[in-house]
Amino acid sequence: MDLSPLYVSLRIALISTAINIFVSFLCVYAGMRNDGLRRVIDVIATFPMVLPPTFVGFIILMTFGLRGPLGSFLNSVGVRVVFTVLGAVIASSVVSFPMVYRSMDAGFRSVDTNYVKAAKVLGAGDRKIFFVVLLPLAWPSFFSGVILGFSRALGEFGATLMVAGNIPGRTQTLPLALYFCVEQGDLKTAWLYGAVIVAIALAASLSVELLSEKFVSKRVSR
Amino acid sequence: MLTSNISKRYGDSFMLDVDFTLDDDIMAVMGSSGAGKTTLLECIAGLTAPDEGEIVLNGGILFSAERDIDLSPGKRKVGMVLQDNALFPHLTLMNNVLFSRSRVTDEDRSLAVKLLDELNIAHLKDKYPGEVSGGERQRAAIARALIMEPDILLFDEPTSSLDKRTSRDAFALIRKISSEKCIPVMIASHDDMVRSITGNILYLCHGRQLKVCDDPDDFTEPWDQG
Repeated sequence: MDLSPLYVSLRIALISTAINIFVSFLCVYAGMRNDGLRRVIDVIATFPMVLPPTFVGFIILMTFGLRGPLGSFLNSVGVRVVFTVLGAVIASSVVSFPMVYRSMDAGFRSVDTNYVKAAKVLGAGDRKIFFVVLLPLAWPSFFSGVILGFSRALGEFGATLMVAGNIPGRTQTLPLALYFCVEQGDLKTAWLYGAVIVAIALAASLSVELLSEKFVSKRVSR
Repeated sequence: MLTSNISKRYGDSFMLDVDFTLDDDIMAVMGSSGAGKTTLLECIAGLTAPDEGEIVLNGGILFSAERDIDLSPGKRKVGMVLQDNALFPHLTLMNNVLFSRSRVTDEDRSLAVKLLDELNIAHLKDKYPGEVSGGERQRAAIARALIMEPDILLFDEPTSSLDKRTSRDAFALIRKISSEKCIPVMIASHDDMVRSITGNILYLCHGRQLKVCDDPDDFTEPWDQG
């Protein structure tokens, strides 16, 4: 069995998850300081979730293609997006962004407002409240958002195929390899790829469960 | 001394409309749920802004609608123990007490230990709030408020999650702190036991101040008078 789809998938999913952690973090922080901005971010963050991934891929293709507004600029400075790992990372990041952002945002918003009030009375500013109070308390949601986003990035199919194609060893991810195995009638390899995907998904779910339990048991009140 | 003459509206109706003065003693704020007790304390602490009026503490203006002054909570020197104490569950009691310090010095640590010791919980300083009892959590919350050397101390429903015996101890502790530190204390409470430590009671009903009673024997529930 060719393991390159596993490595390609892990690489793309890890990079896009790292990007999503950073972007989601900025969005949540900005949203907490400005309610109007939060609503705009919420609407934008919902799009990749409700639109078909192939259409999301199409939009990315039109934006980052050689004739697209961003693609033509990037091409002029020697950066190509379409049919590259970068394209797969962008597609994967866009599609999995809502998972990371929404979990993080829900986690921050679910923190008891009494803690924020207590911090304010104690003279804490917005930054201290965010990093010292909200972030540690929202950590389980933050972590589950990261795991969900990683899993979604790992399973990305439609947008990735549209933007990055299916180049073995470069942009061929596990879901793409599985699809083309089935198309070619190689069911044995398809099952093996499927088993790898299930193993990763199980590990992700278990880690969310275990970490949540650890946090809950530590904070339980007498 | 605290003087407060403020009102806050929600739509056409009053959420809060009070006018009182508090010297260096204890005042209980009583009333049914939704009467505006917490809103009043939050206005004094700077967590909510009144619509009209003025709040003056020891001659300094904390809030004035007319002069457009609204000091941030951290600049008010108001200590507040919120309902259920609101100790940060991920910080030890010691770190909760030191939360208001931006850079913690050895002096701060000594002061925190001294305060925890005065409240008989110094041995719990490295415990998390989830690992100690409700009464001990409340003492830690009081230490956290006292380290700011506040000019007034506010308690929002301090006995809401305590049993009868611990509630009695909590009120006795509040009275002791008020007399030792010589600072005014306001207690928003449903608990009739609060009358055991003060006769100075501000009654609120639907945000309106019904009366200020300073004689514990002169007590009738204002909302029962018809």
